[in-house]
Amino acid sequence: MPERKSVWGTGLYTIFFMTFLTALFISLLSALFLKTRPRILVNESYDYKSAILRAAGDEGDQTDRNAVIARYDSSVEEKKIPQGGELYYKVVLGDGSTAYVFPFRGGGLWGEIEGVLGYNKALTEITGFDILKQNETPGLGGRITEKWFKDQFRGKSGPFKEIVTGGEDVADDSPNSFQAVTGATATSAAVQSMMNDVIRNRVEALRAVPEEER
Amino acid sequence: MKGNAKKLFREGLFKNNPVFIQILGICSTLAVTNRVKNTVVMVAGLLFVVALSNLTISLLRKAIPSRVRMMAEVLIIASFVIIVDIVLKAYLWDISKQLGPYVGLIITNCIIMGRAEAFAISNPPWPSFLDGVASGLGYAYVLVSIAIVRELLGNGTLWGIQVLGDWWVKWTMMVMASGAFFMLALFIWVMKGVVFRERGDA
Repeated sequence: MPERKSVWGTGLYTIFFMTFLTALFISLLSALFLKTRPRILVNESYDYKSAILRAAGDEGDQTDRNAVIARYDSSVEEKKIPQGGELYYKVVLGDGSTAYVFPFRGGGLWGEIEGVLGYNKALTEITGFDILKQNETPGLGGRITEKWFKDQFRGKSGPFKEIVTGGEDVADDSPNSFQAVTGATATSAAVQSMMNDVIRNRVEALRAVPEEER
Repeated sequence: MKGNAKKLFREGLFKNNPVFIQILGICSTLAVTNRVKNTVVMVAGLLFVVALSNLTISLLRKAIPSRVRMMAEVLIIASFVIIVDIVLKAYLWDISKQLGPYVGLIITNCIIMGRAEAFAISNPPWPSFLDGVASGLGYAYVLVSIAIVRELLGNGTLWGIQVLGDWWVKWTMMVMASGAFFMLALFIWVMKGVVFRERGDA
């Protein structure tokens, strides 16, 4: 093309072309982003909100995402422990019972584990436990997200002095022990130390607060 | 034209397969093949991006100044990848979480840039689109084959459904990164050493 030799051809055309192309694609992406944004926000907050509700002992329907978020917004209050200022959630369930949920995180075998631990109103019994994020070995440590593992904490008190090994069939009745995932001793021990850290520090600190101020 | 299309597909699927001949796109081949479901979503994403970016680049090939052609190619590829990422986040949230950063990393998948530079920038739109589809399918069947073996042996499941009974001892190694290396090496060996040798192509 002969005009490429002119000023337009040597530099301006290139600048004009890239500016136009960038503007075109950014507009397309922005439109798509704005259109899907409400859906993405629902998805992003759903995981965390449903985990907090489950940890508080909420047995309601978890499949309708918008309903879960609405239930969360009406029953959960974010609060701070006066001593240390750490975050916890006060959950007042539909049946009138109150629970306190503590988020926690710590190092697992391969990466960070994040979860939530719920306690009843008197802070004596665990109402639920959930894992939000983990990168443990699939099929071994990764099984900490399975229902049997998470549900076994319900009704116990902690701190956990002992991990029971030998598989899911071995009896474990003590309020201060839980069953390990077979073949994932390191992950189970990591969960134990994370939970004990929450129980010894934050649950203990909240116990010192008078009940009506929690 | 028909003969050309056939040739394009033969190249993308076998003779010039991006994964086991050109050894491109290995990062995702190793990373996302421990679950068939995740793998299928990943290859669908790649197929979409490589076909449409090839088409777009080919349509613009006469307008793109050659000095900045790579910038333009990356911009186009990245835009299509972001579309995939947004759509997954909005409509397939669980899979999007499991694929994590690998969707975004489609941008750096050498197959796409490779096809853009080697084919789309100098060929008409329709053959470029077909070339993208062929390369994408060549990538897809390799990954899905590897994923089927890995999920079956490593987890006893296929598409998340239990197919092997309780008697099956899971090969945990298969769902970890090392299993992917073994499977890919075996796949390359079988294709190049057995299939291609018999056909006299190698």
